Amino acid sequence: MLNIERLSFSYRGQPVIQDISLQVAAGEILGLLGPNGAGKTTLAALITGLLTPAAGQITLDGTPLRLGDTRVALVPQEYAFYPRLTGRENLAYFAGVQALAGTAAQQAIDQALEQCDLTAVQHRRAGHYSGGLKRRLNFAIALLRRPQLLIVDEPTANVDPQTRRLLLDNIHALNHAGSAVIYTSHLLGEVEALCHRVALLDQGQLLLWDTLDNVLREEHRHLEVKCTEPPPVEVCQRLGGRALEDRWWQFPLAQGQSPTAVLTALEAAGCTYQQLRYGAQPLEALYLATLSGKAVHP
Amino acid sequence: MSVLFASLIKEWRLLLRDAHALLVLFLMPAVFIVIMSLALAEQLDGGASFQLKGYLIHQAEGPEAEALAQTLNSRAPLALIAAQAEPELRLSDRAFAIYLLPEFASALNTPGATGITVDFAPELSSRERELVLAATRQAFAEIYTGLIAIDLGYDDDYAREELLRENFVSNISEHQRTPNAVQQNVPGWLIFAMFFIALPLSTTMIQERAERTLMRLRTLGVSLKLIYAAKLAPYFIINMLQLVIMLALGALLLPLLGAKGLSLAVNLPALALIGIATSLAALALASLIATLARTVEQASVASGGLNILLAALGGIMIPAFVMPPALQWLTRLSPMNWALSGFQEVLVREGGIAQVAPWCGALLLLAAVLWGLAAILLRKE
Repeated sequence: MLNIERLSFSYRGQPVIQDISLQVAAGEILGLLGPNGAGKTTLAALITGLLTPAAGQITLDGTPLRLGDTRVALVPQEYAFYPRLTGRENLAYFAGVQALAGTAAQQAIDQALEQCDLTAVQHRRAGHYSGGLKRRLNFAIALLRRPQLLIVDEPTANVDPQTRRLLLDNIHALNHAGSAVIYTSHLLGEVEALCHRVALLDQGQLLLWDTLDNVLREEHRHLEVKCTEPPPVEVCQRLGGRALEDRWWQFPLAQGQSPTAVLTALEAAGCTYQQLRYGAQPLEALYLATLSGKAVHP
Repeated sequence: MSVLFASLIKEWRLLLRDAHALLVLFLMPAVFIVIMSLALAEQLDGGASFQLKGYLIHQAEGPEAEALAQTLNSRAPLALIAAQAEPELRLSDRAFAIYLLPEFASALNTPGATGITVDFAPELSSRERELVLAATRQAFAEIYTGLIAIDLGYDDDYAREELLRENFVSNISEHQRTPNAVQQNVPGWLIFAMFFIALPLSTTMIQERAERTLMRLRTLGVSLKLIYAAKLAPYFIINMLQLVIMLALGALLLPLLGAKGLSLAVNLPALALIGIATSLAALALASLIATLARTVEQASVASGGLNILLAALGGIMIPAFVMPPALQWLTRLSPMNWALSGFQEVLVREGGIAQVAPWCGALLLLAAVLWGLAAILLRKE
């Protein structure tokens, strides 16, 4: 298990990561969310040991993580390989620097090529690959040694659906084999489909860290009502409602609370309604609401 | 060890697939060496091959004028053809005319009188004008001294040996020897090309940094020292290949093209030593540029611009010995000049390790300082 405890980091006197604590269990995929500049890349750099924290500690299975720890693999957003080398030569180089040699190296390379469906283009220069093939090669390098913790930074940005499916399948496969994954993406639908937990960062602070089930299905259940006339202010305040667009109002539902109770209260106040929306809040709405409210969630 | 081996193989592959870098590192200096050695042969080679072309307008009569015309025709730097009247003088063709005036014979016996006039094309340099005048005056002095000797009852040989004393001044100082065009251009453009490794080396280092490949390698536990050592080693080998190829070009190809060949019957350990010191200074400069520059564009401008500046300042493009004294002093500021001086100690003056040691020391000290600075900057980063 990855354990991050009271982690802080400053750059030129400015706090970039502020007192963050979270865990990622073996076999868990954590979706790391946040706007650009929120501190996601810095957090990844701290976990991999590229940066040294000002305070706090990071351990993996109880052992502190240091730079070059082979238990961790990072897949950067950029194409971090050599365009003038072929796909296979790139993998051979990265296998070599990880002290993989001989038959073990060849097997690892063949397997990574196969997993990322690159075998047919292994002898082509990587610079001549399409965007999707480059993403696959970028990912394949991380598969050479099966890591205990994989940090993936927006692996599916600007890729075709086939490559997206292939990459997500590979992440799933690694995860099923017991690896923990930290998955950074702005594609919230993808995070919703892939991750077990989400953590939301903004300005170096952890605003939310919880399981996806809790985030979407329980605490953020709500009822949306399209009213013919605006409900009275005191009723809205009592029910915690807020106006949305085009005569829609949103009312949060407490755990165990029935939507009927809200509708009854509205009818009692003389409100009539035309349409209802009821269910879990999509991650995107939660993301935007949390960022705008800056509510720190345990 | 496997990490270093994998890195070396990778760097070789990257370099061998960089057509632009290979052109800059091998083809460019080879072309410069051939063109500049042939173009500057007349200016720098001296001796029989250095000639100033002009006209001899022989209007005088008498045996003295005839003897002078023969002497002028035999003067090494002058290549004369006979002409009538006033020929047109051009730098691209024949740039001066020596007139043996009709009153030559009478002027010989008239103190202060003029018997010869010289005319020049307007574009001819003052240096070449002085050469023509000196050759003409020397030829006249020889004839006139012979006449005096005959008047005194001696012969021509007596005049040459006892009165002119031509052998009294002899050029035997090895240190006064100036390099010919090949000895100037082969090491000069070789050094220029060796320092040009800054371009591919710094741009690949910056690309690795910008594309996060360096970051990825660091997360895999590859030390920065090893990454840079692996990166520098192939370029050192490239520098050594440049050394061998460019010297071979000077020794074997240039004679076939009509230039003087570069003699390699010299102190080879001394040659290798100055080559290695030059390479290390070039690698250190490339490392510092790679550390300072943030983008490939910055690195290209810095390495290309600095290289040209150091070459111009260091007497690579224009030989230092033809520069005015003030500029000659400035050439000492360029490490390319230190390298050139070291190479010429071996190639021109047939010096050994003791002669190149000061230049090697200066280059190695520079390399140490530049690498120290690069290391400090890298650590701060």
